Amino acid sequence: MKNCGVSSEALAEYIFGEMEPSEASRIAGHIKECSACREEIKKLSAVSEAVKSIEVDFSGDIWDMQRASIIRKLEKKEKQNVSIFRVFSPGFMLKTAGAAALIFILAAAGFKAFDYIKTVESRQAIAGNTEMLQNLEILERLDFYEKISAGKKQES
Amino acid sequence: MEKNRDQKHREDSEIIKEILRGSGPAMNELIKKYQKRVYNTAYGMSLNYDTAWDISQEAFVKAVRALPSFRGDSSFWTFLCRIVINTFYDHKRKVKSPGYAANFSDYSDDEDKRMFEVRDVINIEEDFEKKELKDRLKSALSALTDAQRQVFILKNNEGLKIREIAGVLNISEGTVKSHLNRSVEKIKNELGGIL
Ligand SMILES: [Zn+2]
Repeated sequence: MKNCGVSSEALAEYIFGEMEPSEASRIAGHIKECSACREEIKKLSAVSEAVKSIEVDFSGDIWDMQRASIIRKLEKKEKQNVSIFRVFSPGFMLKTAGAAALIFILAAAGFKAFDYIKTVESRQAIAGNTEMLQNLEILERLDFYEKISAGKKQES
Repeated sequence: MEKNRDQKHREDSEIIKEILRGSGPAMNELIKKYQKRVYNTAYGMSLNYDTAWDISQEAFVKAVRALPSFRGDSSFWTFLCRIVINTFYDHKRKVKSPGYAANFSDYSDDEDKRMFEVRDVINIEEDFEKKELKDRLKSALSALTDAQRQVFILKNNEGLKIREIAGVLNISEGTVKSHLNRSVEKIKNELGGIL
């Protein structure tokens, strides 16, 4: 048990960077002198690092796929006409609807590939789809969406 | 990706402005920027890889749809955190509601339904030592209350200020501090020997 007068709460504040600079430098000085606080700080840092280690990452193609799925969900909501996108330019929904249709086709192929995610071939297949997804951004610059929008307009 | 390097330094407000003008690529950029943080925050709350995937997707849908009402007096990240927390509670309610497991009709028409186990696509090497720590961590974090866990994750993993966390969770700074201290104590005791 520490009996130096510095509380565990204070040490936690110090570790989490929530202390006034003057107070923080006082604690920093104290830690040099007090082995009990040094021990406590070590433990707190270990806790902090351990909990940070729960973070995970995916490969880029998985993130791409999640993004495509989010955008698809957004498009679906728009189609159901619970629209908040009235603020958007009139062409927005038509444009994104065109993009969504394309993304959907590509991502659907990707989702099927998940059954075989562990095989190299399907990873390559997904990577191919992903590349195409990225190309969509370039296509938009070429006004590709405009053409789709025009086509959709004629249909409806 | 050369193109994205320039975009990395763009202010959120600038990206959001473009989204509100109808730019699809800007929407893609904004989601991409926060995707990993949102997923990991959702994981920190739910401690379940699949649930975190669903929560983070849903949170982005809500966030983008709420953009017109985002006034920019808080950072976009704290705005997003608040939505992740709300979505976490929505999800919890949904799972608890009677007939959830049986009620496939809600989901069967959803072509975006997750068709895979998230665990299968995570980049982690699970050596034995790490696995034990992870398991202990998970049970330590599960032992916290939702609010304690939220505070601890937002502070420790996301580096939010206590003041910001108070705003996100809509509680006082004093309450945030006491949640933080309680969770530190609990996790420390739970992990005891293996740190
Ligand atoms: Zn001391």
